[in-house]
Amino acid sequence: MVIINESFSDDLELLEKIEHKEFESREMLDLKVNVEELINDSKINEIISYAKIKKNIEFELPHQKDGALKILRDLNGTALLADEVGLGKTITAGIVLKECIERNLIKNALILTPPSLVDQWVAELKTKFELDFKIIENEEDWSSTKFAIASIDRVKNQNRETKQFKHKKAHEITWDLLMVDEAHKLKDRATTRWEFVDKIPKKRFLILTATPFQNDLLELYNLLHLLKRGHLGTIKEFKKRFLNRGNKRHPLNPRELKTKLDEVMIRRRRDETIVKYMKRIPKIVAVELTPEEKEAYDSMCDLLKTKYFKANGNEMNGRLIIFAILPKITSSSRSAIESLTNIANGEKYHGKTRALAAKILEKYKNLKVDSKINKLVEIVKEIYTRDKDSKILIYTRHPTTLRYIVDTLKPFNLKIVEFLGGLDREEKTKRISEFKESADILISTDTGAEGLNFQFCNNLINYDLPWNPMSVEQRIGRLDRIGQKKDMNIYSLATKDTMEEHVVDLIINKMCCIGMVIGELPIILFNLGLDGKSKLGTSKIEEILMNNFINSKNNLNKFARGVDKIAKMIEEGIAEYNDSKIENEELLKNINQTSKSQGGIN
Amino acid sequence: MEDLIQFAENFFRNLKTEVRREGNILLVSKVPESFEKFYGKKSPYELNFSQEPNKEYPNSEIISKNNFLISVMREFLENKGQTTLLKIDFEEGSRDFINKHFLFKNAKIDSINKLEKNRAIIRFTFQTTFQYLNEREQITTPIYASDGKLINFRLEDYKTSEGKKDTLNLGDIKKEYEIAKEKAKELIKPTIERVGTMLDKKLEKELVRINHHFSSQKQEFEQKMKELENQKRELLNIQNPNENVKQKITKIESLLTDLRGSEVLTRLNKEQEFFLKDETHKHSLGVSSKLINTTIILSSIWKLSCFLRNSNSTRILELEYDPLLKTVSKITCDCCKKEINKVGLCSSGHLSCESCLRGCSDCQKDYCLLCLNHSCFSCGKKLCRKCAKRCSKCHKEKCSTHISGSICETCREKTKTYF
Ligand SMILES: [Zn+2]
Ligand SMILES: [Zn+2]
Ligand SMILES: [Zn+2]
Ligand SMILES: [Zn+2]
Ligand SMILES: [Zn+2]
Repeated sequence: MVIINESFSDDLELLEKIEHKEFESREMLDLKVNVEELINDSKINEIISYAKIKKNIEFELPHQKDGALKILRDLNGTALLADEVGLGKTITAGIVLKECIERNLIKNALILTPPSLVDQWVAELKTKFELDFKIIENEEDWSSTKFAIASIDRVKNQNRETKQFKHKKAHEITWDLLMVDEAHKLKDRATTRWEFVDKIPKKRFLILTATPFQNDLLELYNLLHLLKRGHLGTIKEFKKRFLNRGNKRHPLNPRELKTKLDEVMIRRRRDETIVKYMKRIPKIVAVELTPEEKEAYDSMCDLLKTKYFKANGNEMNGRLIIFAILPKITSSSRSAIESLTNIANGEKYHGKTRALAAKILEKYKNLKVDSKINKLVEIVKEIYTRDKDSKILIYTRHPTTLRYIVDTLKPFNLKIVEFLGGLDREEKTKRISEFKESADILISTDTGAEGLNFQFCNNLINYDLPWNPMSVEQRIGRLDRIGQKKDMNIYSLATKDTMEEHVVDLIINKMCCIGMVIGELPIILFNLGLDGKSKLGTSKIEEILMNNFINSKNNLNKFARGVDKIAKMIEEGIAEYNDSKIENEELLKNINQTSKSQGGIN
Repeated sequence: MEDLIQFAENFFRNLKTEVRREGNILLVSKVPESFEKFYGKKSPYELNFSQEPNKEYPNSEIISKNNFLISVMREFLENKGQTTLLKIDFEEGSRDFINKHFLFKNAKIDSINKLEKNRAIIRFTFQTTFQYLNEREQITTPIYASDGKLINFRLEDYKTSEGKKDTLNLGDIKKEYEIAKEKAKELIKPTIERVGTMLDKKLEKELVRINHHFSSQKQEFEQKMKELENQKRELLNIQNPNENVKQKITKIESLLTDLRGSEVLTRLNKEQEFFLKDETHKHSLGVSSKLINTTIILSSIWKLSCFLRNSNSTRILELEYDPLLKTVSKITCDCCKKEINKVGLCSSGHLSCESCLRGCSDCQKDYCLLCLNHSCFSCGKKLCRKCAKRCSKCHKEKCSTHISGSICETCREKTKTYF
């Protein structure tokens, strides 16, 4: 019954060495035998690859290594990894992968992820695990790729006429390890996505999700049906045994279901690990404009909202221009001046628009005060009065504003590090350590600091704010990482009586600083269908806000009502998410809570 | 831990680096570039083999067996030490051995001239890896061959040292390799059987799960069809059916047609087959073997020229002494050609067994039967060639008792009567 593949290597090369009288010292052989004996253990009782991984990850979290060990040793490499959000499921999965490779257990592997995570996976596998995974783009890529990663949305497509999977080659290969990330998108059995994964021949199978079910226990059934056929019986048997008609989330026989789940699932709560999260304290700083400033600001918004369209005679896409310019002119006075100058001198713009821009430019140039930058200076002073050893991370969307801030803060005798996109790796590393070791302030653009870790700093100032909540989440994420020892002050400047006030309130107070941890916001946005990108390449929320801005035609009340609508939607999404989180927790709690990690990083 | 530090110490000594051990600390410097590059770190290295930070060497790296350095060392050694040349060290003991092995009755080995030759024993070490599920078993099998045959041997039983290439005179060893390989295949069979049986049990459990699941699914489907058929039959039995009943019948009929046409069973069978196959693949056993080392073991064979001497004669004994097999070539009696352990030296240089060696009645010297082929015509006593005197008259051989001068006693008596 058992398939036995017997092979004997071709040893001729070695025999040739003998023929040519090439010999090595016996000590070499002794050492070789010795080291094999020292290291070799047939059963996986330890993660031997961890030594290599350890040097590439910043914080060692025992639960990640333990989880990988359990998956390989106790669950035969087929498991539902359902750790709570923020515990680093990707790392745990990566350890499983690396260990399998290191122990020569696998010859190929496939990772399927949502499109937005493909690049991140590739980068993490490279930097943390020293593994090269190739992204599957075309159908031809399958045959030449042993270690493949693919966007599940891309490869699940079927040919419209034949109803065949375009990437059916994936189904012709037996994969030694298949991993599916963010598998909460696999809860519906009637989707091509689900079917695509189901048809993949696999020896080991890892499904990653923090929320195995959202609204309905059947979602959980579908996931496990995919993972291990028959583990929960047929759907009819499952319904009869476990499904409570009154409440789709509460199972009948919960104990029995838990026992079944424990046979294939790993789930750890944050409080079972050493991971500790610090609070994000939102500090919205209102900037009160002088009447002159207010006038300049308003006329600029006018330029974008009304006059611009009328003045524009050619086929240029007005929305596109607004999307590009609005963030710039609301960032700082200096970037506004720069943008206005560009328009005033821009040949592609209509004559009337240019004239109008020139007029507003004059207003800006005549301003005596810059209330926003003054406010920034105030915040910085306040922070240093409270604690002279503070470090501050200041974010802006624009290099021009970055320069402006640097120029403004220079006289205060602070050591400032600038961080922009386009720095090479060496320079980046140098500046990061400068910030860590000796500097007071790091000023960065969004692209500059992507993926960096500043957990040693606990003050963040959003000089301007991206209208995409995930970008803000990214900014905060630089500080809010494992290793952060203090609560974080999240300052955000908002110009009073402008739309900024409402946007900042929405993104900071209603989304990013409401006590959720890293990784939860994207799930909520996904559930609401608000993740992913719009056609213009902006995030969906950003797009809604922009459209709201255009449609409100400079009517602040109308704009505010639009923002309120989004806020309401988000609020409901959060409530729904929290409900299901409680249900998941209730059901998935380990009956016999094993191996509680001790101690804490803080 | 001690194992590990010793391994590391040996490893670095072998690389000809400077190694100093202080308790559980190993200080390594002047590491050759080849290893530094392989490791990706320049020496010196301060290695701490205890699990506690060391106060004297606060920067020392704590090394456990899962440490990166150890796995680097392992990789470094992976293709090393594939071929080895060894020589078995024997105490030179040919004289003692010969003196123990043979009993020299009437002579002593005076001196021995030696000439050394080598015999080659080949040890093939095969490593077989059994891989199944997430487990791996590894066994190494040493197999010894010499002269085209497998032999029973254990290198561990001997003291050895590095062999010298110039003393090696080895032909093609492919034949030895082939028979060793066959033997290795034979030796791993029991393990294959054991693991196979264990896997079979595990697989069986999974197959039962899958088969159970699909037969339930098929049953559920058939159950549903049957229920529909029953419903239809009941409705058909209604006399004077109204519109509502007729409609119901049509609905059930179309549902039945749909279900039959949907090929649910075919699909389920196909799926079942897929998962059974998947599970079988998952439980497959990979057995891969490779030759990890070939050691040529040289063992001396001595060509000995022993000078066997007593007061009457000398004989050079040509012997071949094999200290490995503890054998020496045979000695046979020159007379009866039998193999002998008790060796006598005939005064004319023959080797003789006890029963073929006699004394000459006259001179009393030891002679073998080949040499004692003379006898006195009068008394019949055996005599050596020197002692047998021929009478000048009768030409018969006589012993010293029966001859004096050149005429024997008998002839002398006859002469007396005549006068
Ligand atoms: Zn004899
Ligand atoms: Zn004699
Ligand atoms: Zn003789
Ligand atoms: Zn006589
Ligand atoms: Zn005579």
